[in-house]
Amino acid sequence: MVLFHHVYKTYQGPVHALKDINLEIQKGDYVFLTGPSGAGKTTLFKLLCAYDKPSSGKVKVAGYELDQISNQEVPFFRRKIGVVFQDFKLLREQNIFENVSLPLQILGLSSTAIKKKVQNALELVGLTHRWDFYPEQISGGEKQRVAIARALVHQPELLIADEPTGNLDPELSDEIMSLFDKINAQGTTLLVATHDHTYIQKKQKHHIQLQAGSLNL
Amino acid sequence: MINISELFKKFLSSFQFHPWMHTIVLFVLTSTLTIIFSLTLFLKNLESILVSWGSQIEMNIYLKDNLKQDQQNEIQKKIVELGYFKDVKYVTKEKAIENFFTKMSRYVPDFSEDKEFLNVIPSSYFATLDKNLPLSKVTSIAAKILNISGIEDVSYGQEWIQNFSIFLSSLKHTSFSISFVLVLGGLLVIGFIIYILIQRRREEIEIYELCGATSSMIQAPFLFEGGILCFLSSISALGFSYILLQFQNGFLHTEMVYFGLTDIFRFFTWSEVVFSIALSVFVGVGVSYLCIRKLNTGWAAASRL
Repeated sequence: MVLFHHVYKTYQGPVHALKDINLEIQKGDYVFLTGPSGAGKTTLFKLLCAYDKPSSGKVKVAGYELDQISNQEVPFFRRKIGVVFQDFKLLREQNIFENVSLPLQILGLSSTAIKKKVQNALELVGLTHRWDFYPEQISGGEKQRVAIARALVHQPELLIADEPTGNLDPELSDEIMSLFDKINAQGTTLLVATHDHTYIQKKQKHHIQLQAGSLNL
Repeated sequence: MINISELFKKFLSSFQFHPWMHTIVLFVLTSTLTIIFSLTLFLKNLESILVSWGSQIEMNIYLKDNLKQDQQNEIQKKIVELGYFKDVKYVTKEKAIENFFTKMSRYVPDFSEDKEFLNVIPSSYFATLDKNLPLSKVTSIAAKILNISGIEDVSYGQEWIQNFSIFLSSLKHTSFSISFVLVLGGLLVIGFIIYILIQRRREEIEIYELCGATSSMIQAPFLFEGGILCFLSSISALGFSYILLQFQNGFLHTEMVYFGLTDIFRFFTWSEVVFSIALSVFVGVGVSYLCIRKLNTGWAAASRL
């Protein structure tokens, strides 16, 4: 599902953000990515979402070779993955239903199919009753659940979450993490970047640690 | 994926969520376009003044003394053949004197007693210039007539016309320069305001990119919005320009009626109105495209991760 082979990323300066990263995540895995600030988590995350290309090495995600991907191919690759951000990234002008349905609209599905799939996704995150609310009318935890529903609605092969509990209190964080367990149990590969070691210890999942741009497996 | 009704729905929803921003954009666009349209109207009408006043010019072509009838006929033929006149009338020496006395006797009663003066007035041709001839051409026409053998002099209010021509020409050049700067400034204002509008919605672009939307899917609503905003602004600006023109015509009608300019200052023709709206929409869509293209690179969110 995810393959990094001798990946280096160097920014102007030069700043070596990633050094010789070798990583393989299999289909159905649930992996935590940790590391202190400046360790290269964000850079790794950018490479995974095709927001940047490596300076050298091979990056393969969901069948796409991201080190060689063209600008035209990027949107089609992103339809294969789901991404959850710490700051939710919801459209303020659209209600919850419309926000969750966005990936399906982009895929060009019929309105009946969209309605059915959005309903399922909202059911999974427990927000069916809030479908016509706007993002500013719901709490932080609910916003994150909407973001997760949007990331899952098109049934991606891989779900990437960048600090999904970073803006939430412990209770809501527990809720989100339980939701991830549920999603992983349904077969979705999960890669979660987090600072919170309590979850890593509690979940006993595969754990990747980044330290000064290098990987400690 | 995107059709017109969907684009329109998105525009309305965007307007609903950013009412102030859109109102300000519409206000700035309308003001800029009103200035551009009013200036264009002024320049267009300035051209009409030149043409219109040129058609009112009349010339007195004075003949040399002691010309024979066939020589006179030859001169008249040559004047007509020039093709600039709609009417050429021969005025005999006697008729010219009679006209002169009729006009002057009111001011100088003893003038008719001056028999020596009678010999000063020559016979002439009274010619009315054809319509649609610009004022600037009158001087060269007079020069051509003076070259005809048997012509003593040509009179048409040279000094006034030359001064007026210079005045109109410099006014025209100044207006062109000012309007060029204003149009350029206007385009910059339109570009800037649309750029700000799009920049404020940068996050929207990021989210669409994140969900796998292609460039055309992301850009279409913004291009539509830019086009619609310029469409609405151009219609309002044309309305304001029309009202301004009516005010101006009202002023000319009451205060400057002697200049006869009321009928000359006309609004755009229907085809010009359609062209102005189409051009505004084109500018709106074009500027939106240039702005959105800078943001929608496929990597918009990368800089903020």
